[in-house]
Amino acid sequence: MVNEIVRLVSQIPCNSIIKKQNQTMSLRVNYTYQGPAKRARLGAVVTQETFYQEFDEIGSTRKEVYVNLPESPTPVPSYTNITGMPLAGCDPKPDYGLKVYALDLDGKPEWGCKGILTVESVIAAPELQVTSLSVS
Amino acid sequence: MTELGEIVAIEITEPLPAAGVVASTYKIKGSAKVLKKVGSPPWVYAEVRMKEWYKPEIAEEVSYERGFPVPITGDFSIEFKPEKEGDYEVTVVATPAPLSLPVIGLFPTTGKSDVMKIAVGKAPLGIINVKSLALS
Repeated sequence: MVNEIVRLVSQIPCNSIIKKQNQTMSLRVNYTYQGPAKRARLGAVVTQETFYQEFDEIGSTRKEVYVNLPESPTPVPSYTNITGMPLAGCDPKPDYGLKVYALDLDGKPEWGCKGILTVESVIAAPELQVTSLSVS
Repeated sequence: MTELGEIVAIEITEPLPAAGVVASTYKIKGSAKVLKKVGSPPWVYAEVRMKEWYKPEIAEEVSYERGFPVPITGDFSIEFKPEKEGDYEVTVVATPAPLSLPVIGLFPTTGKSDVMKIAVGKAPLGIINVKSLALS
């Protein structure tokens, strides 16, 4: 018998982007926070859809930042920038996704969006051009 | 003992809240005056009785936090920092005999405030809700 833990990822809106493998990606996370003043972590990781998982993480792209959340008795909108996510570990292909998660808060909530990132190769695709022919 | 208990009048101007959080510091403010005389008692203590919910009634921890009354006015401030979760009962007591503290408890007690009850729990966790992402 196999016990599988399924974690729910809430899907949220996000723009699409094309990046090269040698570039880094940045994102702005728009959120609301309600609770006591707290130092928490926000993390982001590039994902790909596989047969087994909708959000299969590509670990080398992971980036986490600390966020100082002020005390707020009601949900207050705010944002945090996560910069410099390396894409070198991604194969050149379309339809990568992204997952954002929070640590040190109530549970480990996760949010994501699918098919929003295309990674292009830095090496130009080989191209053969025939310029002339000589018959002998 | 009853007679001694009426020598000092203790008035609490800033009592403890009904609920608190572990490792937070709370201040008890008030004044302690020797009746029929100007002046203040030499020693003021907060007698802290703590009971953890899973222990029997008799398993009660007692500790003392010292306050420093201002001469003439008798105003005092005592800091209370609960280290454990549980139900606390805090009473401010005045005594002329500091040497007995805290080995054998307060004796004799020359004044006592009303009991302040405070339920101490863990710090509440915050709730974050990511609304959208903007990639760049």
